[in-house]
Amino acid sequence: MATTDQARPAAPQHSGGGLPGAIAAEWTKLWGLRSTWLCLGIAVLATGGTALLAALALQAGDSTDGMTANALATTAIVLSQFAVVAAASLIVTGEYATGAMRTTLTTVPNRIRMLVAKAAVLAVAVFATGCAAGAAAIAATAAVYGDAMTFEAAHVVHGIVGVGGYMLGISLFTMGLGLLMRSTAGAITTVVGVLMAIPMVSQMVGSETLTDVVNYMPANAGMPLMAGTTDPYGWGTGALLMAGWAALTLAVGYAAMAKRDA
Amino acid sequence: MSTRSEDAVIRLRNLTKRYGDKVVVDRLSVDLSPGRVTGFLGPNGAGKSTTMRMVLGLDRPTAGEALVDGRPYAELRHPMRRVGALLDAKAVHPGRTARNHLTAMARSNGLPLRRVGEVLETVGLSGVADQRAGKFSLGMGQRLGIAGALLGDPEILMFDEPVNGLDPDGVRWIRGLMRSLAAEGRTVFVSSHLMSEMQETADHLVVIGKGRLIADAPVSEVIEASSLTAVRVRTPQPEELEQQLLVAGMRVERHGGDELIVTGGTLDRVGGVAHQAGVRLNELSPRAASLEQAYMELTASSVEFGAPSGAEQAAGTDDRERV
Repeated sequence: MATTDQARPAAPQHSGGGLPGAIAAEWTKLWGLRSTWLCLGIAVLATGGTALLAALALQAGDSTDGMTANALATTAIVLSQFAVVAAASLIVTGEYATGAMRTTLTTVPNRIRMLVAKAAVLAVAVFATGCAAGAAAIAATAAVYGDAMTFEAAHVVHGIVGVGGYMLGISLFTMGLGLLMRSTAGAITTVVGVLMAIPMVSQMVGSETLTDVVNYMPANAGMPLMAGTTDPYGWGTGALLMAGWAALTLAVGYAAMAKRDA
Repeated sequence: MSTRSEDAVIRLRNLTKRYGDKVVVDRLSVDLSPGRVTGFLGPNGAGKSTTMRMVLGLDRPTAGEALVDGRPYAELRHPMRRVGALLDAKAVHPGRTARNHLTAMARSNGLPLRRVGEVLETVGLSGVADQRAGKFSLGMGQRLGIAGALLGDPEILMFDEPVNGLDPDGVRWIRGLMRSLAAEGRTVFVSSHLMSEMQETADHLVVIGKGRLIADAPVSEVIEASSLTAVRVRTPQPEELEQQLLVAGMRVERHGGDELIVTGGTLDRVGGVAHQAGVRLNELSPRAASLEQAYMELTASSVEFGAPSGAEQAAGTDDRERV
C-alpha cells in the first residue's frame, strides 16, 4: 500500500459518502450494466413500435376520428412496460443472484440509505425512459396520422409525463417485490400477474366486486395518468394509488430485508 | 505507528448464530488487536465465514454482538475507510467491469476515484480493468475482491480464505501483502481451514470448531500447549531417567536404545530431574510440534465433515523451531 504512516493525517476528517455517495454508487452501477441499456432501450423502442403498428392498423380500418396524441399510449405500453419491470427487478434481484448484494451492503450498510439510493436512481432513470417512450408513441402516431391527429397540450402531457409516471410507479412496485422475493423470475412473474393476468381474469369473470378491486390496482391506476380518463377517478387519485402500491411493496420488501440475513 | 490505533479493534462478545436448532457460532468472545495478522482457523463448516459476515452486519447475530471501534459495523459512516473485507470472490456482478465495480464502491464512501487505479495496480489487474468480471478466473476475482478491500485504505482488513483459487505466485503475493499490512500497524484478520497457510503468515491464532472458541493465543503458545510438543533426551541410563520422569508426572516414550521423548514437561524440568537423579545426558533438546499437529489435536473433537486424512497428519512431524 502506497500510503505510509507519515503521510497519513493524524485525525482524518472525511466528507462524502452518506446518501449522496450511495446514490452516486447506485447510478454508477446501474449504467455499468448492459442489461440496463438493453431493457430501457427496448422499452422506448417497443413503445414507439407498438404505437406505430396500432396506428397503422387503426388507419387501415379507417377509424381516423378523434385520434389524439395520447390515444394509443395505454396500448403502446402493454408489452413494453415489462422491459422497465425487468430493469427494476434486476437492480435488486440481479445483485442477490450474483452475490453483489454483499458488496453493496458492506459499502453501504445502512439498509434504508441503500434502498433510498436504489429507488432514487431507478426513479430518475425509469421516469426519463417512460417520458421518452411516451414521446416515441406520440411521434409514431403523428407519423401515421399527420394532420388528422388532434394535438392538444393536455394530451401531450398525459402521453409523455403520464407514461413516465406510470412506469416510475410500476418500477418501484417491482423493486419492492424484488426485495421481498430476491428472485428475478419471481418478481417479474408476479408483476406480470398483477399488471396483466388479474385484469384479464377479472374481465372474463365479470364479477362486479372483482372489477371494483381491479380498478384500484396498479394497471388501472395508470389509466388516468396516461389516457387522461376521469372515470372512476382522475389522474391525481391514479398517481396516489400508484405511489401507494409502490410504497406498500417497498415497505414489505424493506421489512423482509431487515429481518433476514443478506 | 502511534496514530494507528489502539482502538482499531474488533470485539466479539458472546457472538452466537443459530439456524433453527443448528448452532453455527456458539458464544464466541474474541478481541482483535492491530499490528498483527490474526489467523482465524477451523475446519470447513466451523463458523468462520458466518462470524465474519456478522462482523460486517450481513448476518444478524442470534445473540451477542460484534463491534468495530465499539460500534456495530452498520453505524460506521464510511465503513470502507475503517474495514476492508474480502468475503468471497463472487460478491461482484459478473456483468460489470472491474473498474465500474470499484468506482461504484469508491463513490459510495466518498473515496477519491484515483484510488481505483491505485488498487487495480496493487493487485495487478490494471490490464484487465475494463473487462467484465464474469470473464475473470477465480484468482482474478479474488484479486478484484482484495482491491475492493484495499480501496478505502482501511485500518482493519478481513479476508475470508483469500488464497482460494490463487496460483503459487498469487499465494506468495497475498502472504506478503498481509504481512506488510500488519507491519503498517493494521489489524489483519484472515480465515483459513489450512493450518500450513497460517504457519507462514499469522502471529496470533483464533481457532474455532463447531462454532466454539478452541484457542485464542499467539502461534507459539498454541504450539507449546500442544501435547505433541516434547523434549528429546538421549542418555546412557534411559531406564533410570524414565523412572524419575514418570515419578515427576511426565509422560515418556522410549525410542531406540538411548532416546526418550518426554511430554508434559519443559526442557528445564527434564534437565532438573536428570540432574537430581545423577543421570548423564548426551542430548536435551526441544521437539516442537508443527502447527498442523497442534491444530489437528485442537480440532480433533470438532471436525464436522469427516475425519482429517492420514496424509495431513503424517505431514507434520518435522522438528521446526520457527513456527
